[in-house]
Amino acid sequence: MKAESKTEAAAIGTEPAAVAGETLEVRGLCRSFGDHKAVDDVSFTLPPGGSLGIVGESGSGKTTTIRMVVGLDTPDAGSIALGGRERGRKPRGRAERLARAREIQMVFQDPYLSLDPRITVRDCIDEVLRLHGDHADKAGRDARVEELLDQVGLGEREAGALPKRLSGGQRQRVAIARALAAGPRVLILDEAVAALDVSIQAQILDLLGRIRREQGIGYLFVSHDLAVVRHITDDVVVLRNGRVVEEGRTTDVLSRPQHPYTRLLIDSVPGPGWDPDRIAESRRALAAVEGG
Amino acid sequence: MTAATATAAAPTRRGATARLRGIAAQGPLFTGAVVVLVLLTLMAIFAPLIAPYDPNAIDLGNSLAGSSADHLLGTDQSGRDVLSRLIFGARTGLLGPLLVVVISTVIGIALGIVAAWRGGWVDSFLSRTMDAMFAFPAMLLAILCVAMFDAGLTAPVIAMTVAYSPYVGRYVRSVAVQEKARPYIESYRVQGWSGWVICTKHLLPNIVPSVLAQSTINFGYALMELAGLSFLGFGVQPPTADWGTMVNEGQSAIMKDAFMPGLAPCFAIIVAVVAFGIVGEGISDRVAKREK
Amino acid sequence: MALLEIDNLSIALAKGAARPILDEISLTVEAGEVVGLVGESGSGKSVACRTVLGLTPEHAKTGGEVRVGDNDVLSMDRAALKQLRAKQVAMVFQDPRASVNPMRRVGDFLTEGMRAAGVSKEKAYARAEELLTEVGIRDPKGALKRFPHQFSGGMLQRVVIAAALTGDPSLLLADEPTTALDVTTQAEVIGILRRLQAEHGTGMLFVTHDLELAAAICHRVYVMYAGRIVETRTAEQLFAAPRHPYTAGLLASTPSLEEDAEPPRPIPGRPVSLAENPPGCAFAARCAFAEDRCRVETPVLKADDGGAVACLRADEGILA
Repeated sequence: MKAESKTEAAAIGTEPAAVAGETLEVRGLCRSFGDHKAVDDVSFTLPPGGSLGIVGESGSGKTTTIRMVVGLDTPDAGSIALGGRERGRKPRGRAERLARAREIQMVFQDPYLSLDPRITVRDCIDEVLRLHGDHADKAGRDARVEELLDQVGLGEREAGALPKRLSGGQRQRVAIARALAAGPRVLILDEAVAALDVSIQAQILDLLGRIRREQGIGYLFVSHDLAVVRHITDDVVVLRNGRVVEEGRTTDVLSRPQHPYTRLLIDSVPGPGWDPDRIAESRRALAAVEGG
Repeated sequence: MTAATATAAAPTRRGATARLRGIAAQGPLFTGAVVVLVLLTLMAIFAPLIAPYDPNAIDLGNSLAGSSADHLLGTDQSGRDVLSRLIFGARTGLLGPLLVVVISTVIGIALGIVAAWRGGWVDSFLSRTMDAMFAFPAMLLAILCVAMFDAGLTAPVIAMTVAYSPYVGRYVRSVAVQEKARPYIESYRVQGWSGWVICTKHLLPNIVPSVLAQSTINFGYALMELAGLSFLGFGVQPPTADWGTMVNEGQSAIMKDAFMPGLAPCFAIIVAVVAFGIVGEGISDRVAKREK
Repeated sequence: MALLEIDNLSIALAKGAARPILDEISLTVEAGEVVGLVGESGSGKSVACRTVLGLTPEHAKTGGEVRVGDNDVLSMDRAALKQLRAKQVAMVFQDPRASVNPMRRVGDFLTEGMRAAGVSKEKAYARAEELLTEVGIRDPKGALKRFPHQFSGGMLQRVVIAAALTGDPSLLLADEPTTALDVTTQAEVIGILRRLQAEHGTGMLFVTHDLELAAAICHRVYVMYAGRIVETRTAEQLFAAPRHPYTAGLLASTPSLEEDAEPPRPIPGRPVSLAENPPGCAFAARCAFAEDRCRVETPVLKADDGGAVACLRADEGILA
């Protein structure tokens, strides 16, 4: 365990001491597209090594929010800071761009579209190491690639393959390894298990849980699936129409929801004993709140 | 850098035999069209070796001779061997469109990708400029160019390049906009790569096949339009053998019941244009299949 | 007599596949019954469902029978298939946007089938309005004049369900009808489907990858793996006491919202692709209970009390 983290620090060139103890603070985030307020005054905090679920349906603003956090979009207002370093505005120059990339990485939803079809698994991870590593020697990078692939449960056979030879679950493992290669402190998982078969989804959730325990990386877990969120996050924020309607410890929010929308979301999750009448009632309760 | 060259080399190594098998698998029509294009190219390159006569050797005593063992396709009004002129005509016939397609593809790719990647006002400016260029009739432009430069291959090629570049540019822009939104491109942005690297190493190679398909079809159109200009007298000047000028000269022969001098080049143009069309469609079918 | 009876249906691609897409599957749907067909990607559940409409993959070899009423769908000619689709069987697909012509008004979409069957324009529109009311669309008159892009995904899926009901079918096929929808919308659409099904006495074959969803609305469930049916029983029984290790594994790997639920436990390995054809039980490679004979001998579906299971070791109490 100790040896592993040592090689990691050497290969990546980040200071492991700093990894612990940096909080991601998002305050008053706003983003509009034309007249439509996609994200409206969203705030949340991700403690170091924590796991925060961002729950919402389509149009809730969850995707826009994390795109701003990761730097694919720029907020109209508000601040995003990791360890006090503001990252809400566009980066100035290469050094700042790379420094930010080393802080927050992301795994996308669709494993079939998130890898360059022309690049083998090994090269796809090697690229990241070349961009972010201090060590340019091939041998060191090769060892690190192998280590990363091993961490996500992929072997030599997959390393030489092009993405089209891999299953959805394997591709998602590659995407996770690629994100870890930059040595991030925060990993954003954008519906990262939504497109996978149930049995594979559980494998990836298992893997993500282990990585967090071993490496202390913080997770921003974006999902529409409350059952998944319940098992992988400590805290949760519920978004609706661009605003936070409820937040708190995941177990509290899911067992004692305060906002009618959260209750509706929970009631809607299918399962044995699923009751359309109760859902209809929750919907009326929500309409009463939003109407008034 | 070694990793990059290895990936670049891999497809070419797999290339030759696999590619031939791929061509055959596309169906007899596609295979036939590829064979036609290869033969045309060889004909153009080795024209001096293949042609039975000097294409410009005048034999007024033997004008408008029908086909015979000596002159397979007969002779034209000046007694020149039609077959030899047809073979030499493939040189200007293919060289002109080749220049047009290569230059317009390069310019179009540059314009299209910059517009798609930068977006915003850069995109608006480039797109409107391309629209404006597009609105200008190519033939008129060509005639203007001839007036400015001189008759010959240069003027029509410049005119056609100017006319085709915005066409390619608009196509590249639309493909690149789609590609840019794909998660694998976004993940490179998240990793901290510069726009230049992402565009040249990842975005461009992934859209090149579809652009190539479009350019192949353009080749046929350019060939036809350049032949048209020659026919009108704005292109390659007599006595140089060229399919367009040959059709022009053949007109009067038809009045005298000699069809070969006019019809043979017509036939050559049709065969070439159709072959380019089939190959272009075939390539885009393959791209579409790969996308699935 | 069952409404739908699939009898030893096999479908094999002519080339490019090592195993058949469907391998001798049999299932029945009774009138007024909701039957779930559950499986992961590549299990063949969607192919089985589409076969009921006579839609088989191109260049595929089929065997067995698919009987709707008394007639075998696989041996029907075009006219009979058309009749079948217009009168007896209707289908709701996963993506409502892909199954509605975006250039035509919803009214045209809903009435075209009835108009083709010779119903007058006024009657067809009146019926369409009635159906839109049934699926819970407010202002049905206005909705008929609108275009598909003016509806949300959930609303459009309601329109598609209304369209499926225009021919008053006795059998409704639903292929992942809510997978593309949000959770709350899914709940609405499922509620509507179940109510309409009960009111009209329609039989329904509900294809899904989501066991929990199947449990919520189906009377009986068939579980498919690698082109075979591995277990079938009532929804309650299947959840309370699954007898196939794959069913048990699926249940354990589905995360649950229940307060004291275990974290999801993954099934190792991955589903069998069409390019692989392992001998014996297709699930053996991922199964914690597999013995040597499981990798040699192919289990057949054997009836037990209340259902059937295809596992060589089911009687050994391995899951107890």
